[in-house]
Amino acid sequence: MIFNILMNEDTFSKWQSQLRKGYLELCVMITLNQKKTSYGFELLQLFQQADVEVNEGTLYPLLNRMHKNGWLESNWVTPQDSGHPRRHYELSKAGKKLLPDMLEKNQQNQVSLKNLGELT
Amino acid sequence: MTNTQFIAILEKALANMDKQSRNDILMEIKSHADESGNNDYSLLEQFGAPVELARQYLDGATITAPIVGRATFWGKRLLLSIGVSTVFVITVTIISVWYLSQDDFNFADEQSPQLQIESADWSTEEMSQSVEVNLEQSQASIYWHSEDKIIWKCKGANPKIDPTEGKLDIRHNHCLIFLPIQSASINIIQASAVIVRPQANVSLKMKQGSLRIAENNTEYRYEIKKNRSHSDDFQTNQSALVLIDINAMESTIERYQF
Repeated sequence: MIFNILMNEDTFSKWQSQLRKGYLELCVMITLNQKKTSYGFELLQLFQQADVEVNEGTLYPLLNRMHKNGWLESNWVTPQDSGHPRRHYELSKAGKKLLPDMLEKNQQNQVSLKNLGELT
Repeated sequence: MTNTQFIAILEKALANMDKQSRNDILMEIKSHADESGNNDYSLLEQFGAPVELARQYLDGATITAPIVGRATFWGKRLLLSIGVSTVFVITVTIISVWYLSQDDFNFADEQSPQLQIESADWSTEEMSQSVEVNLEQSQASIYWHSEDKIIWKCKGANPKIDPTEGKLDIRHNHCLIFLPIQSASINIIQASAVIVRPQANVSLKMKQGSLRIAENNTEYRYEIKKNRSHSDDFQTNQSALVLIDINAMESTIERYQF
């Protein structure tokens, strides 16, 4: 019984993390499309405000992966008021081209789920 | 764990990553720590274990990658060393073989100082009849001269000569030989010989031997019988005065080239 519960939690957690990966990537893309440029700490704050659940240990590796995929470009900016250099991200050409397709696919998925839920 | 310790562990765990990406990640995490306040212990609280964070960055690559990386690094150096050593050994071997297989001088040059027979190094035996030279596991250059003598100079022990039979037996030696202008019979057994402008008929029997012929602008009648042997294409002149008769088994016959 306990084994089954643990297994269910484990598989659910895996399923959740698989689902979240694509979802968070889309969140980052949408945010950067709106703001043009942002950096990790600011993105975390923006996501918090929008009730997007994400922690530091997930977001930074995700940004790094998206950068490696070629969806994001990054550059280091040192603001004049604070002395910390910040790694700013923005959508790359490929990322900008990809975003409408990603949004459309997400929309389709929502519709499909709704349709499935309405099956009699 | 302090932030400094956190960064140090993370850096070590990302050792397999390229330097630029690793530096960007470390700077970004430091920047986040600066941004989020002055708590020296904040990174562990926010990011969790640095090794786990590294795993996220490595995206499927194992965390033991740095050790693999070091092994690969030393493995590459070892392979490079072995490769360089092998090339060096092969080069030295080729040069040595080439150098050792070089003739001491141009055997075809009959005026060569090495062939001046005034010195005491040469041995002489009167010989007016036909001659038989037996070469076994030896190397010899054979010339003809107008005197009724057989003259020779060897690097090893003095060869065995039988004046009554007209036989010169050379074993495990390295010799220069002048024969009288009489028909000669030369047996080459697992030996290497150069014959330079023969001036009388010569009959050669070869077994697993090597023969090089320096014609020095003289034409010859050739009769070559080959059994599992290789021979250069020698031009034969049926009206030539001197016959070179070769019976070769598992041997090579070539033009002399220095």
